[in-house]
Amino acid sequence: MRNEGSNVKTRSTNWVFFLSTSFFLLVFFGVFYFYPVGKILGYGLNPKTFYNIFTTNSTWRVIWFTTWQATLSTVLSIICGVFIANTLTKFEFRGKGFIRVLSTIPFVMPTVVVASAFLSLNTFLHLEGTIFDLEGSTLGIIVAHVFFNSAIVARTVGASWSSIRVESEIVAQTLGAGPIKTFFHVTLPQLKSSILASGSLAFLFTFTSFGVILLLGGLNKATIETEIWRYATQRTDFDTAAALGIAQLFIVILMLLINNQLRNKSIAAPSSPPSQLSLRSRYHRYRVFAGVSTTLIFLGTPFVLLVEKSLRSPSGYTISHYTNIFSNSNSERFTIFAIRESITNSLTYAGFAMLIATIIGLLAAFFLAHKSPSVAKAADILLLLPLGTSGVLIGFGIISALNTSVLDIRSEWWIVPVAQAILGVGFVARIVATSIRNIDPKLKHVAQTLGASPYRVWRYIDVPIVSRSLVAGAMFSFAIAIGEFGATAFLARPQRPTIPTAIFNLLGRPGASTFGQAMALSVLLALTTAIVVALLDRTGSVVGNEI
Amino acid sequence: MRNRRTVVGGLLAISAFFASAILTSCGQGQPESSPECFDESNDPPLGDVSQQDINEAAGQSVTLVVYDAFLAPEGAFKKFYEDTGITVNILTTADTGTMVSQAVLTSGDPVGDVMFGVDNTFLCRALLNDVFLPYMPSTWNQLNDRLKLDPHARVVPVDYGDICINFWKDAVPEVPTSIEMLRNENFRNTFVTQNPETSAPGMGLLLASIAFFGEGEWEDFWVDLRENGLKVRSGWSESYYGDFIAGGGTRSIVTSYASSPVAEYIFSSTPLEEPPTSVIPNSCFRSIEFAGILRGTDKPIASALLIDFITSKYFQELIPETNFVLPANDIAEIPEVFSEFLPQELSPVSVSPEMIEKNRNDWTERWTQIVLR
Repeated sequence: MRNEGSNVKTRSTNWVFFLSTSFFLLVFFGVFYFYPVGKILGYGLNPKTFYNIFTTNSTWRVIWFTTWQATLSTVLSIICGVFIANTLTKFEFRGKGFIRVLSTIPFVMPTVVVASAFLSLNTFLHLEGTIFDLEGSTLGIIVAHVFFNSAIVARTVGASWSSIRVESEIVAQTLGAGPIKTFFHVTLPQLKSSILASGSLAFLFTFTSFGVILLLGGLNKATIETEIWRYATQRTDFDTAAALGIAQLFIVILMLLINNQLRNKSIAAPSSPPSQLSLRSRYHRYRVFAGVSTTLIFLGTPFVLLVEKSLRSPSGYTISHYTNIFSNSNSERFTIFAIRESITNSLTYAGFAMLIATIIGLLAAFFLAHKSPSVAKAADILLLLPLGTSGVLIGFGIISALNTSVLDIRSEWWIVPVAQAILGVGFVARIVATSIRNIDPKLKHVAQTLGASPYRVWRYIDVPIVSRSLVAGAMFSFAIAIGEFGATAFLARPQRPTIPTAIFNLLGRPGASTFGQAMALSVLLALTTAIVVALLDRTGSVVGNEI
Repeated sequence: MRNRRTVVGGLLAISAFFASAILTSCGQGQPESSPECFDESNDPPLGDVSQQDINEAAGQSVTLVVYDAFLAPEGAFKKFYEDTGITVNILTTADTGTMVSQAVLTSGDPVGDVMFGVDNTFLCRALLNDVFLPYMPSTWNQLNDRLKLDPHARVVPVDYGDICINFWKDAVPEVPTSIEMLRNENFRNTFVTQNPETSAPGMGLLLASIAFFGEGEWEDFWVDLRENGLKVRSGWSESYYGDFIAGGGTRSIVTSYASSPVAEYIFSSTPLEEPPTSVIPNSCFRSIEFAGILRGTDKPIASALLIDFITSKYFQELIPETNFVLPANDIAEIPEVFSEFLPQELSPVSVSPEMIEKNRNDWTERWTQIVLR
């Protein structure tokens, strides 16, 4: 019945498309992920090591802490993210674009910079020694995780919120349901799929988070990831590190399975024009004010502190740290840091990583949205695994595995953007798939009945509808790349400075102006990201409006 | 129905790993630790390099593996290219521990040809895992004898520096002249250091305390420090720019390097008369960095020439101002700013690489029990 109008030719192109894409994806993930990680995990397949590790109390304590802090961080990120998404999609107000961009920036900041901002917040608010102490405490870790991850939720949920049936909400309210009741009984069920999608991403990030734990918690608050790091890099004990890596993957797979169970087939919502309420009623005005001010305070304060630090010098406030970055005079001492070069390098690398992640992520998204649930679910787990894998083990795996007698690609310059793209693919695919699932299937059937090839259906129905979420995905893959997460730190890479490495090097040398320039460069990183995000947002809405 | 499909996804993922894991796990395993790090090398030393070898190496390119904080002196490797026709590619890894662990993982099949920067705390581990090829550079006799820890020249010293407790001169309650003074009530809540498991200076101070107070005594020192309000951070940057006066913090004493006052002077935002910081003379641990040819390189001659170059007077004179360490080559001259402001008359202690390798985990665990639990 369904394929009434499709002829033999379409069916075969369909298969060619399906087979070649899956082959391509399997090769890409096989070479750059499964083989390297599998090889390094092989060290852990030693019954004695396994026995020793998993009969120790401290191992279970670490596993338990990792799991509960990640779960709590995820739940809070979801609450925070949904709140931001609500403010951004349901209301029209001035400065909205600014808030939208602001909510993405935390995601790209180098951990060392954010940690430093949080620690100055600690001093600024005199929290030391109180129960709200952010340093060395679980509270600090969770607050930083929410800070980093609410953007993921806000973006993903925001993208699907703008396309849900507004009528249903209006009907509910007309029938006498209050705003809260409407939200929980009408709106939330329609957002469930995107909340679970972004929530699982947030869980993966917080479950394998490294920098935040080490900088804010110290080794006292050890997680599976910091223990893997400690054993692999400081103790050269790959057996223990790999055994812990296996445990980590096991929990990640378990979590993804649970997540899949929770996600019922989402309600296919026909795209209706996004409904936005402008500031008419008093309630709305208060609501927007509350939303905007909380977002500003929570996401903005660390940046204000950062900007303050970038302007500070022993002799009062100055913009000299910024001018030194761009002027030649007086910067001779700083040539070794190659700061200006680092800005162009960062943009190039991140752009390249974004390109790979977006193309492969888009292809992969069609597997996630595949009509056979087993294909969709298998693809979902396979694509997200890299995000839930220890960055240390991915880096070490690539270094130990990707060398054949013919070709040594372990230290090629492009291995860095490729590793970043591997993390980004799952992101792009997940966000895009969510919106593909929301495409009205009737639309595609009609097109197929009228004789459109799969390509034409894809190009003229899928692409315009998914472009908005594709842009969100692209943005995050850019952010992952420019902020240089996880694995890339553990690869051997050609010495070409990027913004995060330049910040790292500046923060590694004593001196008032190295510190000031590191802070100024961090502010520039935030601004660069803001500009890219704003540009992408604009392109996204232009492409999205084509239909 | 849905259950089964979801499980299929999970099983697929698990089997993908195990397939790769089992395929590659044959023949792996750590060598049993023998305590002797400086035993005879398994490999014959690379002989003298002849003029013909040098001519043949021209046009090749070699990869120099460095830790993340290493910055190449500007133009240095260009000169090497002009002299020899060999191009140098620099490959950055992470911290020294990670760099050495990666080298152990790829021992015999290295990612690069020469490694720069393995230090005396990780040296033994690298040697036990047979990471380097012995090569006696032409500069061997110019290198400081006390720094040549490996008599077989699998590694050669390239630089050294001291890890010392620094203090902000205008902010200390009184000028600390000995590490012992930090136990006094007077210095309550003034000291910030780093965790030895996550930071090289943190490790340096732990080793300095062990050498200074001796086995059985050093623990008491840390107990006293803890009671006196010691603060511990994971890394140098967080402590120096977070808690120390330098980054706007409130603590006036920090674990750093003997060269930090010089860097404070050079990288000040307004010209200074003298550095704002100084060091406690008897709080120092001598850190020595080495370079070596990675076993398994297919360019031994070009690599040997690079070792000659980085231990030469020319290159050695460039390292202080970029990496804030001192040259291992005795005939290299130290830049004026260093001879003027580098704290003199320090009495750094050292601990043998074998001792460090043997006790590292035990020491750090005891330290953690005392200071953090």
